[in-house]
Amino acid sequence: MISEKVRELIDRSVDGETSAEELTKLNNILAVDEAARAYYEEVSQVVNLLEAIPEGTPPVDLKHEIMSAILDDRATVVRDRKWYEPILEAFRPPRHRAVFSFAGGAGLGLFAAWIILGGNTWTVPGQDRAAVGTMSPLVDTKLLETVDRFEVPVQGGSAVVETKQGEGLMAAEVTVRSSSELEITLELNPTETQAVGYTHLAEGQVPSHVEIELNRVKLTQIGETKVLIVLRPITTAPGHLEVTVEDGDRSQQGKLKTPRS
Amino acid sequence: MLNTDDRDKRLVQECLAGNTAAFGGLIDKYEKLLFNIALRMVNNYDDARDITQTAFLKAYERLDSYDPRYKFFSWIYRIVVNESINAKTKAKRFTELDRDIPLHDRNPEQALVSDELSSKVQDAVVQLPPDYREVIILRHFAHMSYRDMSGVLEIAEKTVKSRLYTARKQLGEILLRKGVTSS
Repeated sequence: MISEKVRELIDRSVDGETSAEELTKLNNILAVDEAARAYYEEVSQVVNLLEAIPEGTPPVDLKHEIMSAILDDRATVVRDRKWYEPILEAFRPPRHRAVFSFAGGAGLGLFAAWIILGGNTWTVPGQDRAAVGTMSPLVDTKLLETVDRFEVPVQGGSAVVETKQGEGLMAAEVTVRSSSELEITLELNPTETQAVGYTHLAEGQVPSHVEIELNRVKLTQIGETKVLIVLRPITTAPGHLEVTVEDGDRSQQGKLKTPRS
Repeated sequence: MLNTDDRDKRLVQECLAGNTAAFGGLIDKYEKLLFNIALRMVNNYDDARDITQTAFLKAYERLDSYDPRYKFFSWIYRIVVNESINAKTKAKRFTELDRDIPLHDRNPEQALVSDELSSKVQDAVVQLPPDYREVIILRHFAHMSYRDMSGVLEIAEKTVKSRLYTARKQLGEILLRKGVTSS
């Protein structure tokens, strides 16, 4: 059995952390203390085995790969930041807080006025300005007449798609209440009807994701929402759209009439 | 190794000012050391390469969150260790050190015996709990002093010594069970 002090002295000596004086002291101890000698040999053996492991050489192109990734993905790096991080950073300096608080209050006021007086602008990726419209989110959907309806049960509720017409507007209204993630796809015949935009109606939470193309609208949602997809007639003849509701492994399909122009 | 902190901080500042090439200086300085730390942590050459690359990229992405009151190495070291632990948790595999790793020049016989022994010792290191593995790696592969280890690990020097003692003790027992001796 060796003392804590001697044990520590041995440890420091194998790690090269002892002074010349301490080393002399240790040699004197080892010369007479068999237990100390046994511990010294034991720890030296482990250290020798560790020190014998050869150093690894990193791949020669590692630096090049890292620098290429940095230079190529600088935009990605920016995109990967959480959306709220720049806001939090901007709020950090105390002098910025008052300015941002004032600007935030003024912004909210303007937004409220815009909601009441103006409209909610939507855009369709890849579309020109002609395909961009405005509509108040306070639009009274009761003024729209239902043309056709498709309703299916889903986990925790239902998914309803209705084609509607009225007030010079043609639309498909999607109402969802679900406890699982739903994927709802509307396939339009582009020679009959096109999708030109969408807006979230007042109630419910916003969809987690909406993709809109001329002849295809895909909505991914969990929870509740109501979305109005605005349609544009291409011909005067009545058309149709196909609905697919995917709820986990279950897929339910339906066909709906689209309004007559 | 860590007496050039000011140079590191200057390179970081240059990067933040938009000089991306300055990051290359940090890679030059720490690439080999961090790669070896990752290699000892995960005992797999390809994983160590991926970990080193990911760690540098993450460091670059979060460079503005680096606090210059601390050493750059301590900061990026922590990223490497976290990545290594994540990689091990994901992979849950303990493969042998690749045979084709370029090592020091040795004759074939020496190389064979030495590789086998090294592989067994490396396997034993990987079996240590992360806290103990870290002190072994910093002391014996990064060749750090107790003081530097204390700074990097943010623990007292006394704790460094006691962890190192326990780590070697456990390592000795693992090696004994494997029948490994240095003689």
